Amino acid sequence: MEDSEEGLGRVAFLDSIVRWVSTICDKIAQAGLFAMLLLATSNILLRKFGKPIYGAYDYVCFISTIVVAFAIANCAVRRGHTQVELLVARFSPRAQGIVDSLTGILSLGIFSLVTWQSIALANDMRRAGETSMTSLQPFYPYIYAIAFGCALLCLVILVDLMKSVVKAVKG
Amino acid sequence: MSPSTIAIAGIILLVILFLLRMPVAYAMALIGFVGFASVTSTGAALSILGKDFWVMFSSYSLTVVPMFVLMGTIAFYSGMGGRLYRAAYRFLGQLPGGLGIATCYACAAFGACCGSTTAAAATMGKVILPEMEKYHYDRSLATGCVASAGTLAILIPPSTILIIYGILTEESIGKLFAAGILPGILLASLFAATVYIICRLNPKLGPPGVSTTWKEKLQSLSGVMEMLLLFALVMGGLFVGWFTPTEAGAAGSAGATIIALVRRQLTLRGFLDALAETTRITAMIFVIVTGATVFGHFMAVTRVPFELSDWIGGLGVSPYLIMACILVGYLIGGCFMDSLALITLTVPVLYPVILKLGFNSVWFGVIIVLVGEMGVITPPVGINVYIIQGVARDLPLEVIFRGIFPFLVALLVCTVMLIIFPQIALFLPGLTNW
Repeated sequence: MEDSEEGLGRVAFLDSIVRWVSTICDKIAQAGLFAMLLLATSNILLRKFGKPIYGAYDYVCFISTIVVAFAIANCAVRRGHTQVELLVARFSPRAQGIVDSLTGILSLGIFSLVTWQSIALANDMRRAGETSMTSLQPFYPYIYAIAFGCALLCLVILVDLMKSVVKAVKG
Repeated sequence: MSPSTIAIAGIILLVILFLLRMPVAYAMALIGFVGFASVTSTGAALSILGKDFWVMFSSYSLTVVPMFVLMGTIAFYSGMGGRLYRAAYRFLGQLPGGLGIATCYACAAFGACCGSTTAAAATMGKVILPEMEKYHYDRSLATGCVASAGTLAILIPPSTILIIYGILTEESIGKLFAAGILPGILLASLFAATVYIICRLNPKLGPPGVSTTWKEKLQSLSGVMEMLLLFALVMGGLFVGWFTPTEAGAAGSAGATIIALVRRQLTLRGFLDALAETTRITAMIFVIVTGATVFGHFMAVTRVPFELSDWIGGLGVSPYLIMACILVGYLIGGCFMDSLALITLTVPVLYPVILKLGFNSVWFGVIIVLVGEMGVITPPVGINVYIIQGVARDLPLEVIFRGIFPFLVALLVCTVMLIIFPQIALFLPGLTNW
């Protein structure tokens, strides 16, 4: 009994840490979004005066990558990723726990692969010295950002998976 | 197994995962990856997985999404919807069902600043439902009207669904936006006519409001002027070629912020909430589109979409009959799935079929938005109905769904009109030269 409560306490502790990190990352995404807004509008105005920001489109793309990479985990925390609630919501809590555990393992699997492949791609890009055409910015830091965002998403999924397993066992 | 069999097995597995509550984007990425690995090799599938996430997350064409979503959330947090409603009410409120008619046009106007049905329904619901209660409107009619009129936001530009459709099909977003304008006005008028007819037949359902003076009417126009200014800035800049779609969204967001600050309607808290809401929606859309891209690569490597289009093309059946079948499929799918997810899932498969049948791709974009609108208000997944119930908490869902029915008929009439007269959607894009 005590072991079980200790286990639940650890899940809650991990949950609070993952939520905190996701929220911080989402704040960075929000700052990125604001920067993107400023960059795009400044570029419109400066272009009218014949002085466009050199490589503005590249920078907008890079900031957008940061925005999405740093927001996906918090989106999952806030249950923002679209799912079909129709069937499973009618199941008993235990059955819901079993189904959610199964889909949690699959979700964890696919995003672990995305994280791994993003790191591999970033390493390749770093070695090859790939840069954007206009601003000559290297691509790899942004791909590492995607890997970081997906790794954080994996942690969110892992915490949800632990909760689902507890639900499946306890009902 | 042949590639076609793997594709069919993949689609069946995907539907099972959807029903098991796996997030739509995750399921599409998973099945896309496993299917691609089955048809080609694990190494190729791993490589495409990493590249798809990088290419989509850093895609310039997708950067249009956060900018227009931000414009909509700022409009939401700055009370723009309320001012539009008050202006529409002062002009139309004294007619039978006048509040309902005003609601339809106010939602259409709000749709010109915001591309999300849920934001439109939530904004308008909070403003309009208490007013309708004050004038003893039938609650089923009132809630059905607001939930349905809220769907106009995804048809009238800027529209999130049209943006995603444009990205998936590589169709011009500007042309798609132009194509949504006239059908949006038509649908708003059909909704307004529906309210008018219902209230003429039974005046107790929607009594007229108090009449207003011309001075009051003219004073309320400032709320419309700001919307017109924003719309002219965004669409005008896009049509004239001043902006790329992303820049048009940024200009719209900046414009909405400036208007809200000048009117002292946007607090720092409201602006931060708008940013937070935008990052959430942006992440959701990007991950869905990326999942659909991985899934689309799997479908493409099996050649199923092309074989399907060849097969349908060889059937010798009227293209309109096939279109009717596709629309019925969308209608049924829309009852169970979020419209954005449904469109990202189906467009890569159906797009070659549509082109093979000789239909215009811009027109088809507008048609599936209309069908998507039906999905937003039909049970059991009608998200707008749940939003409205969140505002009118004591009202059972079935009462709201009952109120939806006449507006669903109006949506069907609009769809049929667009099928018979595609020029309604294609007239404005035809005037542009890009």
